[in-house]
Amino acid sequence: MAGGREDFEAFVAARYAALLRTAYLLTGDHHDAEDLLQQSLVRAVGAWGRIDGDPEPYVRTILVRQNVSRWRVRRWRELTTDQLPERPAGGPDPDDRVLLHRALGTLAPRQRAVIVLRYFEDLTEAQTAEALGIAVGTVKSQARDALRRLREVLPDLADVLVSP
Amino acid sequence: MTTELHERLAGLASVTPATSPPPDLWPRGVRRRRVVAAGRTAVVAVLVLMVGLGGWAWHQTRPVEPADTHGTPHLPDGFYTPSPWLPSFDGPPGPLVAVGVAERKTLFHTRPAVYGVTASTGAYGFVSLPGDAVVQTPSGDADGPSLSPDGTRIAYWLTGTPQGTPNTKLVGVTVTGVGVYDTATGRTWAVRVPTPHGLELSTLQWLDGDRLVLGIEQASFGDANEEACCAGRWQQLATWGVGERSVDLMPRALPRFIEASGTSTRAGVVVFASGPLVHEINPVKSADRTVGIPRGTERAVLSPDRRHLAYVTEYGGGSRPPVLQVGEVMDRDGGRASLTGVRTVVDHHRFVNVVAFVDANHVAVVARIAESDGVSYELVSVDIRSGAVTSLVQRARGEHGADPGGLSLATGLLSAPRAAAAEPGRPWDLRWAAGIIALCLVGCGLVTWGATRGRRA
Repeated sequence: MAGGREDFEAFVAARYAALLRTAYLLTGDHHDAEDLLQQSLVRAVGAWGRIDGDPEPYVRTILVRQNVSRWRVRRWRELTTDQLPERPAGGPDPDDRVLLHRALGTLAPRQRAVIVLRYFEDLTEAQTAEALGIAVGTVKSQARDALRRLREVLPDLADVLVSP
Repeated sequence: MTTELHERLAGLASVTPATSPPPDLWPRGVRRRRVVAAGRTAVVAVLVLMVGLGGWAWHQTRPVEPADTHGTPHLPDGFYTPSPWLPSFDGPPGPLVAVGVAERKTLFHTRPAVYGVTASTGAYGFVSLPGDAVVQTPSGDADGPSLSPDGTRIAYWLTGTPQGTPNTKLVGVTVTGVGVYDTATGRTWAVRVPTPHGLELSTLQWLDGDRLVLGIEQASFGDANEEACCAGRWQQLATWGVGERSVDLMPRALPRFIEASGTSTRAGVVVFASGPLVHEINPVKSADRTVGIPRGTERAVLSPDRRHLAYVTEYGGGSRPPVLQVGEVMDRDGGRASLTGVRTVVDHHRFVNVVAFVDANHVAVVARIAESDGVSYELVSVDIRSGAVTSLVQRARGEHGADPGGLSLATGLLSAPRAAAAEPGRPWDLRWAAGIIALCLVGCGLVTWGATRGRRA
């Protein structure tokens, strides 16, 4: 991968929407997702010249790790509010999306990242572990725990999901 | 199974509004990279500065190496007042050419302390005396620590508990004895003087390398008595041989003394009486004798052969400036002696006082020097035969120069070869160093915080 501005902007133009969807699944909020993605892309600029090959895994790694870091920071300065959190917009089968949105909201950030990377981005356990900077065994245990919690909110998943 | 979860996640993600990426991502990334690089550079610079400061502060405060006890002693041509942050000697310092009292500071205390100048290297350092040593009396009247003629022993008063109620008002502390510190070995000796309330002090002079002359007065009352501040019972002279179990009180038949002065390795101490008499206390007790001298003279010293007595006359106004006079001591019967052949050696110097004989024909005298920034003093050697004056020790130049007259000198080393005085190091105030390190830490924290904040923005 060449290390210039044009390459970066070409990559952003091509992959922004897809990365934004991943960011949304990680954060559960459109504004947060955009914020997270832009922050990750800005950080990626610093190492753009050193990225060898496809930059997307690198940007995705920044995305998931930055999300965990942001959650840690926010945990200490969360404010109470009388506004309900954002819910997915309407469309086909909105109830299912609401339930999945709620179920993902019950997961810890790293568990949520494991679910998104493994079952949305279709990464292998090793790739997921590399992206999150954790051991493969931890990916397995985090996925198992996350799926168990998802099944509690989404009982219909119980029939189709088995332990990986 | 996973396919269904993938589809359901994709369905949830599909509701994400399609937005365009902002056009300034690249410039923002470049700015952030610069901020991070600058922050890292600043943090590294601060860390390097802190390590450097810490190392330098450690280097400055490390103990002073003791002098080579077998090295050739020298007489420096000037003395300095040391920095209050001067470190102490790392163990016994070896023979010293001078000791003095200066303010010493630590992070939590400021108090007077004894410093010494090594005879072989001219290094300065504070001397670690026992905790009950009196470095400086609050009243300031008593002699401070006294250096033996050969520079290997320091004598000092000792605080302690008297037999009755203590008196702390006469001199500011309750003194009950005398101690000696050996600069070559670090060994200490002490002797206590029986006292009901404590001692008032005056003279602490070396008679020779092993024996001290003490001028003491018993306090009449303890602190509870309203006269405790002012009433002593009697004055008395005593001698003490280092290591002996008690002091040797001298007969009260001696004249009431005022001051003792002058010592060398070979001659005794001259004690001033209230009249125009001096009494010589000699290491050989039977040789003690009393000599008449001009009224008003404050100090006198004996030549090593005990034949000559030198003194500076009292200042008598503009027409009678102080002059250096020398007379020959002629023994008479009954421990009396007379001073004959008194002559003025030099009359054009602003002499202040005699210190000691350098050798049989030269006497060391403190002289005043009028300078543009005030009066200072130097130590000169005067040939009693010709009146030739040569400088021995000048006040060291610069802001921290110390007058030699304010120090206790090893009088036996006045004839040692002279050496150029080296100014002692001036370590930083530890509080400043700590403050700068704290500022560096705060600055480092601010830079790190700013860089982190910049990255989040």
